[in-house]
Amino acid sequence: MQRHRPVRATAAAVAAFLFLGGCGSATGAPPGPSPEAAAGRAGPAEPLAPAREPSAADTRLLERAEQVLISRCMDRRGFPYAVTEAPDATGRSFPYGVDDVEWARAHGYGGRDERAAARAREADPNQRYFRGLSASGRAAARAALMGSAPVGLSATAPTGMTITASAEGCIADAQRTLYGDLATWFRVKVVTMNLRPVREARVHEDRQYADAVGQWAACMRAAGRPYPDPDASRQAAGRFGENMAPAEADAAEAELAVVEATCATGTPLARVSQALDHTYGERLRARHQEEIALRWRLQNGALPTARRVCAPHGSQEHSTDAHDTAPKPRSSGGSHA
Amino acid sequence: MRKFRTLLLAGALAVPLLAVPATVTAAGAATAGTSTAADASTGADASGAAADGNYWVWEDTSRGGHSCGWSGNDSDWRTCGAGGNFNMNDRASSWWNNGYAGSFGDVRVYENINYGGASTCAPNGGAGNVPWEWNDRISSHKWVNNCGF
Repeated sequence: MQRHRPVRATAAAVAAFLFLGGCGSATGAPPGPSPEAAAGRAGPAEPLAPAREPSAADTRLLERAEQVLISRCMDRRGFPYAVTEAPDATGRSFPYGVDDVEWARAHGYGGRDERAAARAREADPNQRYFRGLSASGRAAARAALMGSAPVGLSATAPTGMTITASAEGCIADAQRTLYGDLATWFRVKVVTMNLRPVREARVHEDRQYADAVGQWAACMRAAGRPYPDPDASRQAAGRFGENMAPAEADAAEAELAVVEATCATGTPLARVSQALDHTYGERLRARHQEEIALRWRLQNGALPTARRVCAPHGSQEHSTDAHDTAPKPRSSGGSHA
Repeated sequence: MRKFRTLLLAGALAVPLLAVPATVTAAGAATAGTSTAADASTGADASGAAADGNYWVWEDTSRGGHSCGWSGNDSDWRTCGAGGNFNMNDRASSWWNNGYAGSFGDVRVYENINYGGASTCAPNGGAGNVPWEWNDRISSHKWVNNCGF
């Protein structure tokens, strides 16, 4: 199979990220599969785990454990897969218009931050590895990771979108190992990950928001920026790059964003949209409390498994020799960063 | 917002969705930020042709008709594909998130150009038809770590 050639070519870069990903431990190769993982253990570890929101550290542990499990699974299938840590924040979002003047001065609408995030994604070792594969290699690697077709799991998001995914592949296996009931995990994940979009849509549809936008637009008109709503100004800013050099476009973007934010804070828009966001957020949490609680229970129930997966000396086997001989860089610096 | 430009490949719309799989996969060697357009007659379809690590959308339900695939973000779906000569703005009816990444694997799609308006989130590996209230309304997308709640 062609896929082995690119594997070797990128093994060092991938291994560098693998060691970073040892669940907070940089002591050596990631541990091999736990007995639970190897046996494809079914059923949540703690069906009655508490329905309280996991701490940020616990959430990171779960994300990391999932990545480690995916990596081991891919390794067994002949594909290197780097455990990477997602950046903490990809910039603030202002769904109701920019309303922080200082932030606007520094970031505009966040266009530069967006480009940095896109570059980070491009530099992701898995992305780089994947792009280096032949067409057939890519198809095989992708199928190993997420199953051959997006069927088997199905859930409807509160946005109205029904989303399906494969119950096979290494992502599904990893989540099954952690959360036990994959179908339920998929459902609560799809529902909860879409609460933020629904919340923003509710605010946009609210009469109070429309009224506040009207006042904001009057302020903008007076400032020589006659945009009917924050969406229009954001779109206009996005077009600056079409006929300006990047630095010039960034400056023009920031200038417009500052006017926008000044108008948002100088009219009721900032206050009204923040209040509505809070109100609809609470309402949605109440409406979907069952899915939220179930998500938290599954997450808390998965913590013991995640800790075992991430235990520094849980190693039993490690099959790809490239990983065993690679250096152990500490940071994401290096030629691949 | 309905900013249709000239529909260049209209003749291919009637082609059934399960077309020849192999050909379009080669187009997936895109670098981040580029997009790929394909029409059904050249084979971007649900059965594996678009299984290339990109985020794909189709003009018809069940991944049929014209398609666009992106390895990166796109703030403006009016121009997708090599040469940017296909307009997917306000036209997508189904999609498949094939992102191959440990991070930034989820996709958030937006009603308006430059990530504005209503939005919805899809996890890595997810696929679906766009419901009626979303049909022919999506205009931009970005890869995200998670959509939060």
